[in-house]
Amino acid sequence: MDLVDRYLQAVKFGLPKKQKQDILAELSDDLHSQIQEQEAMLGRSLNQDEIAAILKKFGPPMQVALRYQPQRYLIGPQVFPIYLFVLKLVWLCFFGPWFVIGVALDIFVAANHSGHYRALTTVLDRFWLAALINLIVVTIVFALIDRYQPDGIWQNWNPLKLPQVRDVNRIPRSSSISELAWYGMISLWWAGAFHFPSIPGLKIQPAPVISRFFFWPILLLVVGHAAIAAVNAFRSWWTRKRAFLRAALDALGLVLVGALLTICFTGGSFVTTNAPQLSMDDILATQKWFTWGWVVMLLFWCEIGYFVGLVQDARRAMGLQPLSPWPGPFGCGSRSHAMGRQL
Amino acid sequence: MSNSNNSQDLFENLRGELRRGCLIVAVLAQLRMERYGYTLRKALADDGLEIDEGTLYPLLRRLESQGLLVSTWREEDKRNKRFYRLAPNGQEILKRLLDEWQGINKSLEKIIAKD
Repeated sequence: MDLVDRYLQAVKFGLPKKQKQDILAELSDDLHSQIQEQEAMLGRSLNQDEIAAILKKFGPPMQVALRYQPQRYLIGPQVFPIYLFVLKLVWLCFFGPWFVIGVALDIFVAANHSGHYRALTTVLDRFWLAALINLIVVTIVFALIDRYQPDGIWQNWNPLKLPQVRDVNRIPRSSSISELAWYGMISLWWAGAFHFPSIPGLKIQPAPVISRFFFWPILLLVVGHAAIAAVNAFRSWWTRKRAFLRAALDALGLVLVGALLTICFTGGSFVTTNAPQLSMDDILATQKWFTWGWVVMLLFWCEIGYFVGLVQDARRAMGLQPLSPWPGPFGCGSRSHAMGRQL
Repeated sequence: MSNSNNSQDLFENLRGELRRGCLIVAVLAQLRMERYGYTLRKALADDGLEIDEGTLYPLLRRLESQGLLVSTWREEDKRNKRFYRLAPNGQEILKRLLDEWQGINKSLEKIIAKD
């Protein structure tokens, strides 16, 4: 019976503390009853292999023990979908911008020291640490919500207060207005109608290559987007024609951003700096910061945004539903909410 | 090969779900008469409902903690055994569960007969 005792000892490890002896006594009785019955049938004692076969059939010790444990979870099935939603939201709204700003700042700081690669790895290290802390905090908060939620909270709902069915054909006016404001401001700034506040003694201008080759295409791009957003604000349904126009602008944006990236990666600069009191090193560092800061923005924002926008608008123009739920460039919701109207 | 494995896994999952509720009813019904675990398992198997020890004993504990069963330790055949039987509350619940099961059974028979 040594094998049975060894088996029960292994089961004991995973049993609930208060019931250990009671459960072991019951399992022991069952095992001995089985052995006794087989011995009575065979008319002899069972050998080790035969006892081992009975134990094997009984199941792995830990699995047998765990069945006595109450079902436990950190976040229950009712709260879990909301937990996942919040995690996604935090990642999208917090880590996305944080990552872009972090990379840009680190590249600026490290521009004259140990190079971009080290700066990027520093940012990534910090990013993962922040992500881990964020995951832990959100998980703990939801575990507490799940544990202490008032009884019957899920029963107190009113069907009349459910949100309206989202009409995927409609372009939300708020999104069109915010898009109009964004592109309108960029258009005016690019056309020189106003200037952002600058640091006294530091004059930063677009590099000649930008002024010469990119001024009109970029102006066309931003004015075009502003015009479409203005129309969308008053005619809040997609038409194939409008979707086609915006797809063309998205394609233009994709090409322009690609060209700007090429300039940057081949060592060019987007700006020229004029600051009599700054040393040449400081001027170069400033130019690098502007250029590489823009690269980060262009890489993580514009290029991806225009690519997504091109795919979505092309689908709308072809009368297909856009792939949901991709956001558009500059985070304006009309691209994610709206879809190709079946014309 | 993978498809047939998936299909088998799916069948086993669904079979498990189907059996779970039935096993509770069967265990409660068998314990109208006092039995200990081993004889209960044999009685169920003799009636065509095999149940492994790893499922039966935790189930008995759960039903007892829910007040549907009562148990006592007693010596029989020179060994201590835990005997279970239906508690008064268990009898009432069993009656209602059997009514429910019969209702489901009738409905299922009707639905299946349509095919």
